[in-house]
Amino acid sequence: MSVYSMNKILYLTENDAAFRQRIQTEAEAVVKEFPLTDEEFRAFTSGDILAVFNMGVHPFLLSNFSRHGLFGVTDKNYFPRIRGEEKVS
Amino acid sequence: MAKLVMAVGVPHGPMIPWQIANEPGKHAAEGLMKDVREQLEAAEPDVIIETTSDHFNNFSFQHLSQFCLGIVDQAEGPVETYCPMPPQVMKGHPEMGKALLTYGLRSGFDLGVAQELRLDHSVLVPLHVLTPNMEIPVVPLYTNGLVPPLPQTRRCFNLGRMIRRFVEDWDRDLRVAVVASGVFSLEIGGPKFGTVDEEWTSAVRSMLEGGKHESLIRRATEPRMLAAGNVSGELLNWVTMAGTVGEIKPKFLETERGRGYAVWKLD
Repeated sequence: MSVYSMNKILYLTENDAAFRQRIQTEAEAVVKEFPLTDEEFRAFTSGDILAVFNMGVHPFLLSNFSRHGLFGVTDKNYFPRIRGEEKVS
Repeated sequence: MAKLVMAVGVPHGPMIPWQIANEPGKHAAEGLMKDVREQLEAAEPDVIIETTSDHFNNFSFQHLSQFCLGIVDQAEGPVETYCPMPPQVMKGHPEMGKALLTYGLRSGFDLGVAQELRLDHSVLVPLHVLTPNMEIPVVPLYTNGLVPPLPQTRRCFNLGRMIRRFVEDWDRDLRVAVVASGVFSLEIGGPKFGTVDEEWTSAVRSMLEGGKHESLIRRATEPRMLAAGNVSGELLNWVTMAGTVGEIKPKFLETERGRGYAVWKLD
């Protein structure tokens, strides 16, 4: 379990402009630099924010997915996804 | 001796300054903030203690204090990407910050210290709107209101009582105001986003209106606050402020959509 690392990625995305630019251009490679489990990596990089939320990532940090357009998450699909109304395959 | 002259509480929504500047007459926050600002200006404070909650801009899981004083000459912001307002420079009051730190340690409150701050909307929206010239120095007191487990509500109230004693014992001829920053009911990023717990908002309002702080402490448990939304622990900033005013009633109190705007006059 590395909920800490997922929180940290989302924290850095909002607070570190250079990190933000990197994750927005080479997203998977940047996430690979952190010690996520396979399950966490899959959920995180497929934009399955409900799964990431259920793993314990803080919702305030989670909103950085749509705020910064990570892994296909947008303002439009964020809430349908976190409410389980839109599944991520 | 220093004197606590006023305590106020307001929300800090990151869009409030933009809404006031660009959509005048459209948002309840505009008029309510103006009401609070005029009363704060009339109290003529020399220094402000702002009770607030960081939103993962200074602190994150790498280090998360439950309570932390900002002891800085000055600091800037807003640093976040989602708060469209003009850049601000907040003047600190390191002398007061250090004196409060020491007084707290000697009376059983071991507060953390940050000597460099990245200010976010939770600090700057109230200051920008209530003190637009940004000339009054500020000691921010950060409380963890966002990341459960939260500090105990009674602990926050007692922290406020300690702050009141500090102010009254402080050997400086200064007028002090407390500004509490935060909401009663709000969810960000979670499944309940967009809903407001009107029942809780109304209960909090009624307890504050009646000066029933003991009831507020008993009822504002962590589960009850979080049931009202995942950032509703920001109420703790109001509870700390309530501890500074004693059992008196507010001079002004309004609520809208989970937010409170209030003034306690002590002078």
